[in-house]
Amino acid sequence: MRGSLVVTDPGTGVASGDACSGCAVEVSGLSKRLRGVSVLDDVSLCADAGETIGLSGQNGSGKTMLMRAIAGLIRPNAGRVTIDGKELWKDIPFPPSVGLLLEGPAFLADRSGRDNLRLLASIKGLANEDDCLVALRDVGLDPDDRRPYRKYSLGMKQRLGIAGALFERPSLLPLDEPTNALDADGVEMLKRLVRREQRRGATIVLACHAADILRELSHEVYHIAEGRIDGHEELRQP
Amino acid sequence: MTFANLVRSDLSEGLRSTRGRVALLAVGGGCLSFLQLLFTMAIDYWDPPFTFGEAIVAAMGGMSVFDPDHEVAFRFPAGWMLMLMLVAYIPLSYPYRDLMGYGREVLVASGNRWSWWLSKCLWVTLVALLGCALLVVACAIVSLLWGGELSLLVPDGFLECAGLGSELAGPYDLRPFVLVFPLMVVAVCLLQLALSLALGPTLAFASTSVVLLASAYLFHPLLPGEYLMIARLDLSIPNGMSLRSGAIYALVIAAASVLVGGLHFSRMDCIDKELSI
Repeated sequence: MRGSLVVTDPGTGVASGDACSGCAVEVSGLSKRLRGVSVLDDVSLCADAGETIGLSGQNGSGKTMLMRAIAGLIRPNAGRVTIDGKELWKDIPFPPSVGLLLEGPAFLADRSGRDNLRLLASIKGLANEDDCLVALRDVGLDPDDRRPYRKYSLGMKQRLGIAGALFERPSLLPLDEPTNALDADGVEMLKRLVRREQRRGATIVLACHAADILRELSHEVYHIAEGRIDGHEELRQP
Repeated sequence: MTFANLVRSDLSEGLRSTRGRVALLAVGGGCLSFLQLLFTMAIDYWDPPFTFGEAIVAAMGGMSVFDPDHEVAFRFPAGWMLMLMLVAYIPLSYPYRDLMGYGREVLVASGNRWSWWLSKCLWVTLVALLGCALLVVACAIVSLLWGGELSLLVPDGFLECAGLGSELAGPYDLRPFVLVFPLMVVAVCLLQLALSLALGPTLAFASTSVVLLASAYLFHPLLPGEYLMIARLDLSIPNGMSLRSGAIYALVIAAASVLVGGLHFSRMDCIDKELSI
């Protein structure tokens, strides 16, 4: 039944009977301590290919830290993260195809949005100039706007961050609070783009304070508190 | 292909973000050399024209070996230290700041921590060499302004006049120094880069400053600053530091910094160390 809460084993965060074979993203027993503080404690979750999993929780609950772990930016003290069966920090350093929106966008202050995307595209060579232009238009930014990034409003910066995460059409999309600083049109834009990525088959990990958006966009939602999974809700099939 | 793109990105953006510091170094180095030569002239021991070598001694002479047992106060080599700290300051914050910002996106996009690290090492090396080149050019300009010739031979007596207390007779050939100086500067900057990953840029810079100060106060072959002071070298004092040893030591420091720093970075959490969680 859609919307029913399945209370899971707090040690694993996974409902009994779930099968995690073939997970695109699998987090197993992940724990992390930073400066003596436990920021993630025995977290487990699984996202099948093409699935969108939502992360809900208060500020400081561990959502962003979990995103960092999935992106390969922090090293677990225990447990592991696997991407398409390959373990981070052992088989691969980072997810091979990932578009990151984490802790707020980070771009070059003196470059325009278009130049920023162009420079980012030059690293892997997966996206061309047209892809950059399309991505900017998709998020409602003007590709011909020559203003440097530091002159962007917060909403514009967030839109550029979303464009930066999507423009190479990655397989994995960790999106941390993507609705931050977006107006109502921006939120609708985001929803439209997330659905488009879902149709494309991307695996999306979506952290968001807005419960309604999470429920609307996610196939299942994990609730995090004090670094632990304390709830898991299956909403619909991918 | 990715490594070349990383290097290109770092060269472009890194230099862009440090152009102010580079300009400051060029002006600062020239001013230091100019002022030191003025000082030498003012005490009426040496008159212009000043050669290129003399301008370099004025800027990079450092200080003579300090003996704490003597009743002579420690004269802090402010000019020398300020100049080297400026050189160390130029490449200081870009790699770390980049990692906490745009560079994090680039790192994940590159998919390879070692590529990112080596690109940053290459950037620091090039910027440190640029800093040294600017210092040398500034000294050359100062020399030309004083009507001197571009010779790296410093005549006998000049080191004494510059307050560096040489015990060996001149002339002094600075060509080996001009070759080893940038090697050691690169080594110190790479060491600072490696430290900045573990400690953050502020503490790393403080560590560099402490090493330079210790090099001035003490006299020990393991202190990199010894090889950056003409007054401490075997060309000016009998038991001075060997430039050949300095070159080898610089290569060892550089290689160890790149290797140990890379190993640390390959296992490092990419979280800002200068902010609380």
